[in-house]
Amino acid sequence: MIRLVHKAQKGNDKAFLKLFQQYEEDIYRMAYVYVKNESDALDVVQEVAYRSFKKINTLKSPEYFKTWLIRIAITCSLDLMRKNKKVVHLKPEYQERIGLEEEDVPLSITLEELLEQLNEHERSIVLLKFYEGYSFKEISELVDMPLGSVKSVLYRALAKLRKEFKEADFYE
Amino acid sequence: MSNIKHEIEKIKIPKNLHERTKLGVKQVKQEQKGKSIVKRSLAAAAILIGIAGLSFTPVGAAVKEAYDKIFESEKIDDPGLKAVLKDGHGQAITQTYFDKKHDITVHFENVITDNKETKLLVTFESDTKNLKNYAIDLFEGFSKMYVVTAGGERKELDNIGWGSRHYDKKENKVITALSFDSIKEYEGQAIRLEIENITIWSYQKTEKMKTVWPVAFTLDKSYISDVETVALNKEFSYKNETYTIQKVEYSELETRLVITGTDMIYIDQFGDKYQMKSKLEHQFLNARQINRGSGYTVAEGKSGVFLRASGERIDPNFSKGEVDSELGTFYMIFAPVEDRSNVVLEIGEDLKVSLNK
Repeated sequence: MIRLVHKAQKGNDKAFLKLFQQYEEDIYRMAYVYVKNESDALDVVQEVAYRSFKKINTLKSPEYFKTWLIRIAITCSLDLMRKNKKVVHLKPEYQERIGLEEEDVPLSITLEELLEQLNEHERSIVLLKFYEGYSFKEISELVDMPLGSVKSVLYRALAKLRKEFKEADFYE
Repeated sequence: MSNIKHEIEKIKIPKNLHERTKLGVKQVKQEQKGKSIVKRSLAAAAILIGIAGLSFTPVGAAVKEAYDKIFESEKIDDPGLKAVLKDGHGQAITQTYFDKKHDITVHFENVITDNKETKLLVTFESDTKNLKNYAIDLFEGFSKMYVVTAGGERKELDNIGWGSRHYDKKENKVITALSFDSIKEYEGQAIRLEIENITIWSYQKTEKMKTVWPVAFTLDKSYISDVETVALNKEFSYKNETYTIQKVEYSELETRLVITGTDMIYIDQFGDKYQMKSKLEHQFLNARQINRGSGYTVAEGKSGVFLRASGERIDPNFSKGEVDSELGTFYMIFAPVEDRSNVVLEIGEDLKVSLNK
């Protein structure tokens, strides 16, 4: 991978595409969680590819390529969200229960809730924690936020989701 | 695996996902390579006439006319080419090849080589085919360059740097300066250069026009630029790393510093060694700016690495970024230097290293 990054830094687009392809599905799904539709999520992927290839010379540690890409993906997603505040209402087809490793509290969540109930910060941290599997320390570096704040935002997000579930449960 | 991950993985991946990635990358490449058209000004034309008058090689007015548009535009990202044109180096070939099948007329104008690189200036035009997207793209397109000896040996010549291209819409003519491997070893021989395949760029896809455009000539000394090598082995420290300028190679096309350093090799867990971007190279690239339609230029006001000679700042040649070096060596390439009596390497604001013995 280091070699591919170096080749890409020399301007080799084929090497860059090979690298990027390993993460493009992750980037697409992350973008989708922010922008909530296929067309905008594809725009984000294209923009991430554009920005990252253009700026690859600024990547000082090739081993952090994936983390660097994810940071760009979050920035591009937020940029696009701010550009067009689109709201897409998805129809939840199911609801499942979730067990959270850190807490022994049952929680149920659907994709729609994840998309609709969380603000930008919460969405980023939930994605990085549960989809990408980063540690709190890694997330704090990625989103440039103190460790304590990352934890409290995540718990706030999970509490929100739990609250939504309870409300939904109440009306069922 | 958490349920949240499970939920997110249910987001379907569209079929055209990778195509969109490619488009993003292509946008960057086109910004780096695309040459936008700059209107000719009378002032620039007047300057050109002056330079043509001063040049000491038999470069005809027609040849000057062929590359003046590139020269006068500020869209050139190869200061070496500018110097070649300005000082009238190289030799006019003035050969025409008619590609009957594709109705394209190719004019070979000028060639110059040193022991590192060849520059070949070519124009091509057509009455029937719109050439806006046609390029001799040796870097990432389908185009290739070969040298064929009198004995029939055919060898591919790799690109060096981006080369430069200009499309004249009014005349439907492409003016292009190609940079590829040195042909100095063929001095005194009758050789043929062959351009194989033309690359047709568009936003949607890249196409290949299959063809061969040949030019034959005897490579005599007038085509060859000399290289002056100064062995230095000069050490300096920068950001807690130690670098050694092994040597400086001066030619009419470029100034090349061959540098080794303590942070140029990365060894992975298997013991494999890779070239790393050193702190010095990062500083060098810090002043690089990519412009839409004009390739690489210096970002004025940004800290970088420059040469200083006779009080003049000599800029980096960022278009040579992809020139491969041996493992653990970094080639730092600048524009040519005429007065080599007192050249200083300036790194950032404070560090100055003399390139004289």
